[in-house]
Amino acid sequence: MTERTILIFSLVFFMLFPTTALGDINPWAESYRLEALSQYETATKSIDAVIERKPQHEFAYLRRGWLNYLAGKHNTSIRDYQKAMDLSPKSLEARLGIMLPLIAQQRWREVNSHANKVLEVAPWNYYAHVRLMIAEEGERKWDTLLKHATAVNQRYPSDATVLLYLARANAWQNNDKAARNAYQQVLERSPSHIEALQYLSQ
Amino acid sequence: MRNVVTLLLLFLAQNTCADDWYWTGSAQTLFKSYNISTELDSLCGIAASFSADYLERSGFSLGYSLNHTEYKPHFDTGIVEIDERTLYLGAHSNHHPNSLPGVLTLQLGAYLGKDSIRSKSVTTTNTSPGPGPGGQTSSTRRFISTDDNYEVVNPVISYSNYRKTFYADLGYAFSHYASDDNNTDDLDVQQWTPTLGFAFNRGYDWLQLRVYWISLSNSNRVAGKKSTSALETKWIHWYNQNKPSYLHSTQISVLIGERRYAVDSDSTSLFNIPELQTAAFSIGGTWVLAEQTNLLALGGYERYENPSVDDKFNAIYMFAYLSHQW
Repeated sequence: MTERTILIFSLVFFMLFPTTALGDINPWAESYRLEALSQYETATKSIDAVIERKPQHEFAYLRRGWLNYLAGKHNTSIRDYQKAMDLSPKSLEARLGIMLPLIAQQRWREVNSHANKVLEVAPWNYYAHVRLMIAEEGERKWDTLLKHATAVNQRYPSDATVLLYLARANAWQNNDKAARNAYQQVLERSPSHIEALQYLSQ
Repeated sequence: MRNVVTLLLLFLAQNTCADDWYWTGSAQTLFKSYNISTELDSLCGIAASFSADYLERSGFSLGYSLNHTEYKPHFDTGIVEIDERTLYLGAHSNHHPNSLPGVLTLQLGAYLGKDSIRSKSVTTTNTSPGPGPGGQTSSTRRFISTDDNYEVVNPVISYSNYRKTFYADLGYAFSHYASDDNNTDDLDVQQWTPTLGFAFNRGYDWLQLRVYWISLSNSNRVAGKKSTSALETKWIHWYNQNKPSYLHSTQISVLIGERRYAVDSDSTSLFNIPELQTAAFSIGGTWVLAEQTNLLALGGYERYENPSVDDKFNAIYMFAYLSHQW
């Protein structure tokens, strides 16, 4: 068989069975590739095909929820994470995930509710604590945030984000010395942190 | 009714978690003194309200207020005092449509109330029978009580973006006043209140503009004035970390134009004295007494006209509102 004959047979095969050819593209790999290119909305379409085939695919909803969050489609992201939670009510990842679009929509009470449900079963889950602190800051609960950030800082002493919330809570409570101390520690971990530099230069 | 309440409680128990409900209780008081008025003297008011919100999704509220208005004592006839009792019921639900980068809120308020009006009247009777100069008369002063009942419905549709830097709403209110007194006509009032609000200075300041378009039905209560319009401007400034102790925000409000029988959906209050409000100014602040306890104190000045008796007067008032969230 000549090369020319093989080429003709290949073309005829792909013309007759085009879906087989496209179906070979791994939708997961495609979604990761497009995510890396920041094409989040197109990446969700790869996952749509998976969900069409397997409507109970929990991970597909988690993945699409994340991509929709990155695409700024927060309501759709919330729906995807909610579906993942419905499919797997004990999933901590779905609860941690749904907090992201809720934070984007500043729905602090709902963030608070999901974070506390995670902390009921995983008391020192880092992400739940950080997202809860974001909600406490959004609701301007400075006293609660101060106590909370102090407790989390004891468990995660090297973390700059926790120290940042500790610094902000102290600043809003007019505890200037404690705020400066916390911002100083932020700079030890992140030397060019703009907010810490600005506060300490006052 | 009992079945409805039972079903509602069952629904709440099954579909919601107790931690997801946010309860707020509040109490308020108002003292107003009328100056250079030929009729009105002062007003004292108290009110209490209670509201429950399910996360950021929906909520309802219930309030009750009692205002006592004193009239000038030097009249032999006319109104002596009015006791106004108002029950407020409200509900709202928040929606997050995909097509909007913010929250759409549908709100419905209803007011049911009664003004109990106590008036003086003088009855003159002939004590000695027969005509002529020898006849004697005597005057008997007596008090009459009449009720003025009112119902108000106040739907509002509002939108706020997620960053809370823009707000717009459209409010409508329909009020119906009906008196027991046959000499006082019923009155229907329709009100439209478009509102715009903007945040500036990185969210530390807020400017809100609200227009009041009010049209009134034919009635001997309104002295020929069948429509009024006014613009209310409110500026709120929130303090940053370097705030004065406990002070959370200060606010100034100015009203220009004319307003009568207005419904204020922000403070859930009714301005239902028949006088025409021609200007208002208020200044105040909010103090955070504890993380969940706030105190709002306002002082204000208002100008009124009563064209039917050519009375122009003003009022100064103090208002305090204490709220606590659980």
